[in-house]
Amino acid sequence: MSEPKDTLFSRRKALGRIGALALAAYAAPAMTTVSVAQASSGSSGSSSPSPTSAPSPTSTPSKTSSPTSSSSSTSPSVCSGPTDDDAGCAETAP
Amino acid sequence: MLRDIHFQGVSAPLRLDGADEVHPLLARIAADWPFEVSEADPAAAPFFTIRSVEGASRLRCESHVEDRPAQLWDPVNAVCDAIAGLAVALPLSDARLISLHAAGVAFAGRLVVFPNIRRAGKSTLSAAFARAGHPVFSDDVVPLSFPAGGPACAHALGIAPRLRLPLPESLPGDFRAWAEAAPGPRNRQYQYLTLPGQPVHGATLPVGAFVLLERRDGPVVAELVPVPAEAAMDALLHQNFTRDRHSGEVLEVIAASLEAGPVWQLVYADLDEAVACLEAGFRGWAGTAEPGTGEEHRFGPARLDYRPGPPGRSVVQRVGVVERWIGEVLYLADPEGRAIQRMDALAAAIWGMLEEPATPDELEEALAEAFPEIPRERIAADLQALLDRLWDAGLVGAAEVSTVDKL
Repeated sequence: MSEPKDTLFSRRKALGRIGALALAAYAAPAMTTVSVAQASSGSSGSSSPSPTSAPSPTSTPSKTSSPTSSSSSTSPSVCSGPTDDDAGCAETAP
Repeated sequence: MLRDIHFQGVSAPLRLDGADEVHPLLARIAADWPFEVSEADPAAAPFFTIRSVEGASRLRCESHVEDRPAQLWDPVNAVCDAIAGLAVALPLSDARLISLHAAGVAFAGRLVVFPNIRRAGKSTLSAAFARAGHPVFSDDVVPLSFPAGGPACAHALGIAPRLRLPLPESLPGDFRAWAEAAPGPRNRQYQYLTLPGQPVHGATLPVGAFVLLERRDGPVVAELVPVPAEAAMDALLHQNFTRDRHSGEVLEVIAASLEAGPVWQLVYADLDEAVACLEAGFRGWAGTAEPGTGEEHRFGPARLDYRPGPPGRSVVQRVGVVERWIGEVLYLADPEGRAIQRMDALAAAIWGMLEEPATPDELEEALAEAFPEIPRERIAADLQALLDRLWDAGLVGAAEVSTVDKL
């Protein structure tokens, strides 16, 4: 069965893109997760308190280095609470 | 005594259990964010609780909008911690907003946003701009909304800028003297600058530019240099901490914001030079997009319960995937808005082939033809790894199922 004309066209276009890449050295195709959605936390103003599953701190954006590997850099940056190097202003709560 | 503090624009209250020292501190630190105090309403879920601890000078602080353990802080840090929670709680009450971990300073009627991680110098630079007479929307969090037909719109928080102590010896002496004399609460770790004439909470300005900060230790002449669009995209996506939004919508609005103007990097070592460089660079906004007058985008939630179906013989792009080319890089968000993916050039080309149904064998054939020197087994393995990831990410589906979806 022959493929429709527009299918052939888009396939040919994509093949052309791959062909252009063939001029460079091969590296495994890489897809990196740069942002992951998370469940909304509870306290938007109604009903009873529900402690959250909101963003966890830290981590830096990953580079697209390793082939087809998933990035682990999906935790968002967070606003700066007094978390590190607290100059003796804090203790962990029991 | 239990009290609730209601900040303008935030549905959930800050709850104080005792902690009498917090209220006067808040009045100086959140000086431009109006709030009201009332008796605690047991039916209202607080975003944060500060509680006195019997026999201790520290206050027990617990965030209800972030997944982190409770801490015992001194009063200044307790307020600092509550404000971090407040920044998370604000967009929960306003579907127009996403919040960036960033500083924002006004230049000639537009806001320049510095989306940087900690220790890039954005707080010190913000304080230096305040000293130079520029309104500081925030030194840590910039909420953005997205009116149709224009650039992103930044919202002022009304929180005093904060400097980390001790101030580095490398800062100019006159800046250090100014900061040390500035009014505001402080402890051994932080000093807040309660400065007059700063923007009140809710004030808005169109975003004029995004500037990534690159602070150097060695001598370097301060300069603004253009940044590749994809580097800016990665920075903005990372700095967005409002992660309950639909990722496809986030991708669309941030991509549109980057189209509104170039992104810059400020390379600097000297604080005064940095201020002068930005003042020279952003003294006017000729040629930039006019502020939008259309309705502001309201974000929908991500749908996190998607599970990929059983694989088929051939795969195809799923209907509803959001695609955006930023510079030379393709970004994709799945139809449910669970995540944003960055595709390198070859992955993007393979993605393009999946516009129509294709089998792994067909894709492998095309790759083998383009890269004849690469062993076929390696190509097959690399390709399968990519297809597995596309499948798990909800970007592709079995061709037959996807055809039904389209109907």
